[in-house]
Amino acid sequence: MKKILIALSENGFWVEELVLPVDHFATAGFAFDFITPTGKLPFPDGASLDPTYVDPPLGRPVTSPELARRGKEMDWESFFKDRLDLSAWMPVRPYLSSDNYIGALEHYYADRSEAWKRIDEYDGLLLVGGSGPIVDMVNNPRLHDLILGFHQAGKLIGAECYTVTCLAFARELDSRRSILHGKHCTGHTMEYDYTAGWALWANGDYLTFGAPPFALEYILRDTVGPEGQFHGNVGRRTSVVLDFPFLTSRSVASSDLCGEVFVRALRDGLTRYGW
Amino acid sequence: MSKILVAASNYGLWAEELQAPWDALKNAGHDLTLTTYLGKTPLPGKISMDPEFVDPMQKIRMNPPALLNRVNEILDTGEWDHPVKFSDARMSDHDVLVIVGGAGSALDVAGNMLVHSLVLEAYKSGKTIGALCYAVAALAFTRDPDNGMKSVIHGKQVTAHPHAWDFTGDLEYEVVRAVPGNPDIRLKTSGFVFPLQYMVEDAVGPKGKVHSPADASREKPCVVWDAPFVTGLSVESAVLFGDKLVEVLGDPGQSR
Repeated sequence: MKKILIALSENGFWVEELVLPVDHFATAGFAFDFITPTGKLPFPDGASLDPTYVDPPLGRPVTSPELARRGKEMDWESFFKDRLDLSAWMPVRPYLSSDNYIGALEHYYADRSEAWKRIDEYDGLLLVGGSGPIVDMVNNPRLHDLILGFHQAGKLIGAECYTVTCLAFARELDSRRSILHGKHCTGHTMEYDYTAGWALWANGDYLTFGAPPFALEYILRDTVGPEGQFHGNVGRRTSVVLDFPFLTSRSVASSDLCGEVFVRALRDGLTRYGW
Repeated sequence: MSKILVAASNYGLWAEELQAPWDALKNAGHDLTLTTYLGKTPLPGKISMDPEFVDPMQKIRMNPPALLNRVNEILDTGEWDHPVKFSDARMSDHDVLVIVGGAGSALDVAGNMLVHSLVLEAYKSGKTIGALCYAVAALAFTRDPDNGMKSVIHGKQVTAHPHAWDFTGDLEYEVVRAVPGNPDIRLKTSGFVFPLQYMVEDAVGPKGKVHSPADASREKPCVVWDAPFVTGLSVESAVLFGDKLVEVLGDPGQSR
């Protein structure tokens, strides 16, 4: 039986980007585990529970009443009760200033190889989106190492919405080469980025920005390089790109298709989709 | 004398990164206008005002008493109060744009489209543009519509805060002198919200070059001038960054 590892933020995940892929996994008979950065209980982004919430760039509500109800009625505590703690699983790189840096670095790489053995249990990794991932996933060195472990094992890596940024930044310290270099991917484009009112959940309240702290489209265009290609698919309702081992999904509306293509890749051996 | 627009963060400034270029440019007789996202005083991050803070890389106290006295003097006199909002700043009113860093600059400066508009206008009109530390990200994210939406630093030489210096643990954005109308943002992120060096290396492309010496120090600061950009590595290079801007503005014939 196939088994998927699903990584979520502790600062708000987007309900639809979790439940629709999970529906596909359940239908296909896949097992799945959840993991969060420090083992804390993940919670849904409030906007993803509100069927009246109008996404400013799209100018329409993005959450159906049915999904909003599912999100509100779900007992998240029992749903996530067996979640894993990434900080307890994966080591973190030492600082240059640590005593005996080379020794510390060797120790880190040895620990990482050991930690990667647990990836044998899984057939694929899915990173769930929302604005929370910008707080604790995008530049999380342990998550980068988890991604590199799945990449080295040749396993499927799916990323939705802002978590696609994690793929651009997961790099070996010495090569600093992006694993997306030369690949095809999709992601949030400028047209779909907020120009005002973008918010993060910060210690019990929303912290409002103008735009998100980075322009994902430009990060991805730069990182795929001249041999790769970024596909914005602006104006298409969905945008999902599979260039094995990477499955990237632009945003909320692509969640269902993302789950479908994820299953086809694992079950049917599909390696290319959407380009 | 040049009219200089100086942009800083409202979510946690590194004190010296504004103070050093601010004083250098002011003392050289330039006319400075401060601008921030919210139009509030850019409050320095707590660590950058802690006299006991020892830089883990350089293993020295980074905030000597004279520096802290000067920053407190500026804050006491209100010299940084009432900055212009980014949305009200006009590049056409200024000859030079300088953007300074600090942890907060990754939040409200780097991805801010209002800042990108200022950078693009300065770039298109041949004005000198300075960026220090994480503020270099704002250059990387400013795209040139006449060059395939590549970054304005594509093919250029710039500095980028070394990845080896990036925090691996949680980063908080606590500031000094917080008041109800200009509070701490109470956010905790997993390090900076993006790794600057990786992102800038991608943005300059194969023909550009990124300077990220992990052994830079107050004795060995790192500032790069590749016209129209003057970029500086981090706080240890803040003084040289200010001095270099003064030199560049005084000698318009040179270009790198």
